[in-house]
Amino acid sequence: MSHHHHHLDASSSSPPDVSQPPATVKETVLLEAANVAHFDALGHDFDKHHPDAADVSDRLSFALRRVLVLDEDATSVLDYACGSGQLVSQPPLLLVNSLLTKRYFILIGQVSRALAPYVAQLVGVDISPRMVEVYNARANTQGLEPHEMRAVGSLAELQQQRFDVAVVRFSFSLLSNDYFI
Amino acid sequence: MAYHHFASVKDVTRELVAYLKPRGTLAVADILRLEADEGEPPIMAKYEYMVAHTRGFTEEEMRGVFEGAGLENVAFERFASAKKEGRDVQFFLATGTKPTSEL
Repeated sequence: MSHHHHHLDASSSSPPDVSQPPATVKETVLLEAANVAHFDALGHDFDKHHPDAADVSDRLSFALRRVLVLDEDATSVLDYACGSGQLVSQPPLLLVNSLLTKRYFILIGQVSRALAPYVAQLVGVDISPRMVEVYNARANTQGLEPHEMRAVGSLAELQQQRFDVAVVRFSFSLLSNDYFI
Repeated sequence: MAYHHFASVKDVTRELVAYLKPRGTLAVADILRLEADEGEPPIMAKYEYMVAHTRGFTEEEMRGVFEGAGLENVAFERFASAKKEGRDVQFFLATGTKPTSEL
């Protein structure tokens, strides 16, 4: 990974977006802290926190399977800002709850949204240590080995590993602007 | 990293491309920034303390970021729409392929 300092791109002719004021280094640090705090606090509630996202996630899963060439025996996927893994994998605990509460639509949603069965390896990355924990616990609960599904705290931990696909689901908007020094 | 900060969209895109194999694909899904919404409060205003891009992204922005990171065959589609607090929200999927030869 190259070490470089961030600077305003002199070659860029587009003016900064005035509706999103330049983020200072301080604001950027606050953003990161707010995100870690938010997702650490959610823990297992991440899944309950996003119930209305089920339909959108299903559609995304279908779109990804249409656009990407996925091989269950070969494809490695990097899942950036992976959260709890809810978006990529079937959560058995939720399925049980769903049956008990007769919320069958969740059952259907969770299964169809899962990407895990279509790829050989899923590696999640998340800055929230709690999300990494939940992601790994989910993989374990589903009987998946770490080489099939695991999460780590930073890209740097992946060292020389390279991936067929990198996905970023609904996390780009969390990232800071480029307009800081 | 030389110093620690919450990375920007541009930085993260470049980093992720570095972790792709040649011919690997980057796929980003997020909220589409709508022109019709410009006069309204940002769709993610409630999460301003943790979301930098509270209006989402335009196709032009995403194409710029992807192409700036050296990705090819950049494609952009709207894959879903939803209602949030009575307003239309659209979701995009942007994809791009890492070239065979290193840049």
